[in-house]
Amino acid sequence: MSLKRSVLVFLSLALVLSFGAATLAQDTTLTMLTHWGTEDQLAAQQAIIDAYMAEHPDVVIELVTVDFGELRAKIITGRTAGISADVYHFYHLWLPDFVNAGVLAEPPQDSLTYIDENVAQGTIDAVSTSDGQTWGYPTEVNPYLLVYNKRLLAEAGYDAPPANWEELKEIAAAITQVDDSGAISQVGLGVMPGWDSGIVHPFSALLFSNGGNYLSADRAMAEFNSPQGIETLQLYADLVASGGTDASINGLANFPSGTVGMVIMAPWWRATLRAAEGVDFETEVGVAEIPVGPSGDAPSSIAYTWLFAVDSSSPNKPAAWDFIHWMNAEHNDGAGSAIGDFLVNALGAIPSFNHDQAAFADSMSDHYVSAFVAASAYARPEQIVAGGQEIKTLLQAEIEAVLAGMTTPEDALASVEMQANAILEEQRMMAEE
Amino acid sequence: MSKDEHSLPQSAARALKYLVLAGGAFLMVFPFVWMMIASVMTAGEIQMRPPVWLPAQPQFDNYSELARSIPIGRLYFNSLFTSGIIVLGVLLSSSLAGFAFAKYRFPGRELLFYLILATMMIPFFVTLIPVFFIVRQLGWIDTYQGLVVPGLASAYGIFLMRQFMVTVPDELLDAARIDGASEPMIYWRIVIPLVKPALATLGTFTFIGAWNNFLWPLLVLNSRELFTLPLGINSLRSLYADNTNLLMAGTAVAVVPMLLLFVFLQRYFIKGIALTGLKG
Amino acid sequence: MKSSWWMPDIPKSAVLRRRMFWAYVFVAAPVVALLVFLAGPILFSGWVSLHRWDMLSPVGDMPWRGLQNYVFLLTRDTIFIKALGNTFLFAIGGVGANTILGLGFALLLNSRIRGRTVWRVLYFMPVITAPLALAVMFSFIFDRNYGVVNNVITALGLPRQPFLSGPHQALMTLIFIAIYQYVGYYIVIFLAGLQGIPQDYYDAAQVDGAGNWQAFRFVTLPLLRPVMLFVVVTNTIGALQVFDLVFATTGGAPANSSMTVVLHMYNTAFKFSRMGRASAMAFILFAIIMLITVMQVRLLRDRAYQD
Repeated sequence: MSLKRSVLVFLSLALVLSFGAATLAQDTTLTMLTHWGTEDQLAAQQAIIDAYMAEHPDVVIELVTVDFGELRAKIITGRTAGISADVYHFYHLWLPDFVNAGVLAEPPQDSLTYIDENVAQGTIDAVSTSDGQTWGYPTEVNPYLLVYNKRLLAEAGYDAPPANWEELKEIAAAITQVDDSGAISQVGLGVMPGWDSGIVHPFSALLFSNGGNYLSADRAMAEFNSPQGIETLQLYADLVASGGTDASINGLANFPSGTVGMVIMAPWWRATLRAAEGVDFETEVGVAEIPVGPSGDAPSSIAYTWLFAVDSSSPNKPAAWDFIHWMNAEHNDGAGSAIGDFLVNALGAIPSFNHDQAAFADSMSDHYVSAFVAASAYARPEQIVAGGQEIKTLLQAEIEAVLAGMTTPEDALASVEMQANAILEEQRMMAEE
Repeated sequence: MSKDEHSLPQSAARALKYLVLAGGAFLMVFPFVWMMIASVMTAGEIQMRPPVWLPAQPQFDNYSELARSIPIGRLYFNSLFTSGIIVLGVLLSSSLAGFAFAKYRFPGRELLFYLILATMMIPFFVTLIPVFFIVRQLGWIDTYQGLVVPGLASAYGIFLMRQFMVTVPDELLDAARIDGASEPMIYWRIVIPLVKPALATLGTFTFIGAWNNFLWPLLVLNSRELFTLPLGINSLRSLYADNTNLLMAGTAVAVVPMLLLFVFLQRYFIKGIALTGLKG
Repeated sequence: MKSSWWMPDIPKSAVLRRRMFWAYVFVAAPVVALLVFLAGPILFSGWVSLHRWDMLSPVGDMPWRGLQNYVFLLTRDTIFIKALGNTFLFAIGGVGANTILGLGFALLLNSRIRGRTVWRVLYFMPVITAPLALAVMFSFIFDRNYGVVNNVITALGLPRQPFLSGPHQALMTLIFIAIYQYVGYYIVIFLAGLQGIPQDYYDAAQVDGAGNWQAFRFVTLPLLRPVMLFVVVTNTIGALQVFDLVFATTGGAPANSSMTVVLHMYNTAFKFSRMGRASAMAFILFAIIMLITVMQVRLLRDRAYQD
């Protein structure tokens, strides 16, 4: 009896709960999933949503945020659970996987035309699959540059950042300080182990500045296992050997406290650096182009992108695209878009749309962001391919192994290349099946 | 050998004993104490060289800042509510099934019981994804039901309750039957009161497990309004990656009330836990 | 007809049959729940492990892969093989230390001692704390630059250690945290076991002229075998499935030197969208756990009978 009763009580409770959620479903309800979850970011996004809803009283928009680390899993599990959001904001590397699995809806022609007319081709490519189909509105563009601590460089006797790898090695070794206990208290070049982008993106930036490639142009084969790639990993090994780098001192965590000389990082770091206590943003933080390797002839870089897209199972696709368009389009000449404003002023990131880059040029004119804006003109978009996240994770582990002195550059790249090509081959077969 | 020990001055041996215990206890308590201290430091004090051991001025503002940025009450309610329902469910289902396995003969009894024993060894990850699919079929993703229902029956619980109920004398049950008690009444009036210590054990165990569970809520919940404490702590990790003092304040808020509750109820907690080793 | 071990006679009397009816009522809900949430999922996982599946395509469209996932894992997935080794080390270190320390401190607490309750409470505190909270606390405590452990070490004039960020120390540090977390639990279990040993046995041993060590060796240890079995088996099963702690401290870094099997499963499933391979991994882990458990039960039980 008591079991039956408790089951009944439970079921009715469940019903009440689910009805409670369902009563909100008046008019058109759109759910937007993003990873911008801090208090300020939530408030800024809510302001955009409120403004849209004021103009569109028949649309209700709900914002759901998850941490970046769980975003991909949430999109996938939400899909399988049949409770997917209508609007996603996600990292473009996942685009091919999502497209192959039919997660995304194709944008309407109006949107495609608008994107075509207002975004640089390289950024459009970054949110398009290899068949040329564009899948959404690109948002932040994040190129990588050498961020350095002017004070530490000066103390080591250098008044300019390194322009090539020889200088990089020399300056890094000079900055590193070993304290009385024989331990490193200050390190020249900080790396960011444990974070896939924090390892693979700086590696790619150096690789490109050494004339190398990540994947072949048709994205069918891995190309990082080249003489240029081995030279790049050898640079890591040399830096570790000379003490210029130490994997146990995380650049991301320690540069703000003033114990790391240089880190290869992205523009959105600005907020952290401004608040940093160990380094003065205005006077001590410098930004330089990626040092050029022995086989390269000019500084290059890598840039990654995020995009807004619509779920293919959304019952309100036109409304979802309308909302995305409204957020990204410029409504008054020279005013920029709502998302542009958010990206630049709340995040310190570089927006994709030309009108935003123009409208918020002033906010991006400080010595820090302006350098990244300049780099975004030549930085190569991260090549996206199905299985790309897995390849990136494998490469991350091998680079970390080189930093830890557990393997050689040759072995590391040969091993990832083999696995990466197997993944690419498998993805091709899957696509044909 | 034993002679040597006796020849040691008794007081020295005793002192050594207390020293070892105190050393161990210090190691156990220190991380919590350090978390509390760091939670009232400024960000600068945490990074100070040479290191500082105490804040110049305790920054209780850290806690008010924390309260502004995460819904602590909500997290506590969710954790308490879901853990509570799971405990009730496990106690009810385990005691019912354990009672049947211990005190009734019915076709299929042995087979079912061995099946249940076998499932105790399965790594939770084997069932993780399929259970996720079942929960999805039921439309329970991102709901309390989805979080709670898969945990309502426990193979371990059934096993434990059966072990305890076997020791209840059959004569008691028969006497009750002669007095006209129905089978459910026997369960509720006779058996349950007799196995209260075992229920306390199972309840404690289940509660700790449900309270600390992380992977399942991480998968099944999307809305921050439904988040439990471990998910709250997980969000803090990225929210306060650069603010160790606030991160420690958040962790303290999640951990300390539970510790206080434990200190008050420690007698029941520990008695319950101790039983599992003997009956399991 | 004689009743077999699994199928007793159906009772003829109506009273007994009514009783049987109630037995089925009592077991129905829990057994159905276990079938739905345990047995069914196990079969489904086994089926998925023979396919390639990204979790996004319909279940019916999964391409068949036979044993390819298993073959790949055991021959070519270097991370999995690394993670297996790490997980074994984690289990051996954690279980070994927890058994020895748990028993040692239980013996101390079982001797004439003041404030037994207080000691027990102090040692038990980490047990009831969420692993995730401990992970956050220890990430800070063992931090290379600002961690209090390094502050103490350097104050003593010793070299700073990377701990969780060092390729040769990360796993060791995780083992330490796991010991810290669970030792109190095993102290309580062992203490209960010790208190269950009748004083007569020790008196008899003393009459036979046994010293402390001999009493421990020939009375305490043999009588503690069932408790020991419980501790070793449950601790091993738990340690082989460690997830929360690693997820929230190192995430397997650096260079997968602290990667564990379940964390790699999680990544394979949700980062790489390879549900089939993740399921195969779960089954390999299941087989390993079964094997180890059976071995442990054999070893500790047989010796219990010998004594």
